[in-house]
Amino acid sequence: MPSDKVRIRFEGNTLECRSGTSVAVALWENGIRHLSHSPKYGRPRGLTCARGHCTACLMRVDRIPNVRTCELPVREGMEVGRQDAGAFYAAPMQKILAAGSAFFPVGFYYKWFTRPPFLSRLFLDGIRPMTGVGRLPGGGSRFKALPPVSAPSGTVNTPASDLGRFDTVVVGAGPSGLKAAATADGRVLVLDDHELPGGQRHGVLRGLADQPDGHLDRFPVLKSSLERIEKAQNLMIARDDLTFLGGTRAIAGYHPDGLLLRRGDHLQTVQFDNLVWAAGALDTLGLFAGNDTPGILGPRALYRLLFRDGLRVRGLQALVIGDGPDFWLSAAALDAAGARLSLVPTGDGGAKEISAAVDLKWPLNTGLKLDEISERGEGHLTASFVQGTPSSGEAGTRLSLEADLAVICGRGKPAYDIPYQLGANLALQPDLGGFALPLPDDSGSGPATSLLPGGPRLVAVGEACGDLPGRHHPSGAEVKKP
Amino acid sequence: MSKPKVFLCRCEDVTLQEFQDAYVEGFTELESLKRYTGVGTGFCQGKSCLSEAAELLATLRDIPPAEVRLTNIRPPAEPLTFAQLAALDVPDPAGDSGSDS
Repeated sequence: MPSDKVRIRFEGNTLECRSGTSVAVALWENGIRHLSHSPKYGRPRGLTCARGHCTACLMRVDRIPNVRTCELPVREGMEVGRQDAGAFYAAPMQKILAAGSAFFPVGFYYKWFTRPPFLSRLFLDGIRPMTGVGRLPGGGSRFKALPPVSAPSGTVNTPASDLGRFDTVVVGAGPSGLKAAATADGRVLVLDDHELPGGQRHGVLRGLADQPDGHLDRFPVLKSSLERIEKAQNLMIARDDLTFLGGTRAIAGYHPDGLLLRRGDHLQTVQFDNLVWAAGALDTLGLFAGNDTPGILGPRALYRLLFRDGLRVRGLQALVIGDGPDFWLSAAALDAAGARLSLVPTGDGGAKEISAAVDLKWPLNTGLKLDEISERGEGHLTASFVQGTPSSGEAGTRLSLEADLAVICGRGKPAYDIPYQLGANLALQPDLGGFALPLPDDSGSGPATSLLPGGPRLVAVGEACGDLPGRHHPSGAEVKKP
Repeated sequence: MSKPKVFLCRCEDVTLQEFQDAYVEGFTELESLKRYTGVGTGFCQGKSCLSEAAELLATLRDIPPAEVRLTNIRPPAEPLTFAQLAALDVPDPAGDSGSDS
């Protein structure tokens, strides 16, 4: 067996995988898109955020449940399984549930049989085993003690450490974070959950710039984005009193000046005098029918999968829906990786970019509003769109597009949880993507305002302060006002 | 085949319809909606849904978005194992151990 291949066991079958990829990507490349089933409706779920945030890729690995398989590299002989395999969510049961869904009103599990108490107890005893992510291995009874499970060697045995106090801690090494790091005072610590500084788009942009066909030169919005990132990288590299921690994310903020960091299974603590929150934004997939279908990705997830895991998309039909730089970067990156494209721009797109896409013979479908994505078997998506203006009320013409994966590029939503834990005030600003932190007052001489009352200084920069205003999300379910 | 559901919170399987129904039943704050429907209480700790839920609530209540109050978000922002926490060597909080309430 060549050393660039490893074999893993998946529910009784041996799968051959490229070494260096994550478990979730290895399964995807072996045709397994359904990594879990949702806890209430038993809907199949697959790779979604690709950064260890969401529930969709949680699986049992070497008997340990709830492992984030999008973050875990494949290892020879690894035993992987769905947490619910063979339980309630077997295919026939899902069919019965889908057919009988009319008899189960929304929220029935907490609304039915609330009185009398004995009936409620019976009902809950009956229904509870049917939900959730399945049982732990090693026993038929729910109450039987489980055999001890030991952690895989080398995971949690490394001594944890306190990194001490830094004058400035910068969370996020995208262009804004790097620029802030370059001008920050004193000893500086920069951390990012990517292994290398540059942010969520850098790897994919650099890869495109290195391609001989010059895709990047055709898209001014992407070219300027790469230039901005690499200029910031050079500024950061020029400092020698700066520490960079890759593959590390801030997972908790403790008032007034403490952060808890995680790298894999290893936790670290750090204290700061100044905190620069440059953690960027998260993908927003939008609210539409079937928005949880496996195979739907956001642009940031796509970049990570293409750059970090080298996800094989050659020959796959990819549907790219949305607006803004991420729309064009997703399309260009998928094209360079050998996917067949189908584009649905939902905003005005940018004249130069549209003409470049036409020039490249990428099929464009304009004037469509995403209505529904469903799955015909594992890995085959059908996206249906409504043509024309959605607000006119009349039923527009419908159009369906088939694809193997769909990338939805809407506004990103600012990451806000750690500043909020530290006590920062946030305001919901839908036109900026969600709970956005206020931008520093003076754009010229660096951040000046603090988001925390008293104590250490906290400033936010970049996409954490909101995505481009006015960008339209490709879809939106109707919200009925009661 | 009926149209698939619109999911607001994927971790806890809360649909858009459920959220709207809960609002009609009288849960009009994000905090109480979170406790009633489970939105934002899953593995992702609201990273995938709280902004969306807050926007929906602003629309349902017809109030300016800035008036929607965010729910409590306590550290940590993502689930940890006891093993990870046990390996953490927490530094002594300088001198004042035991004085915390």
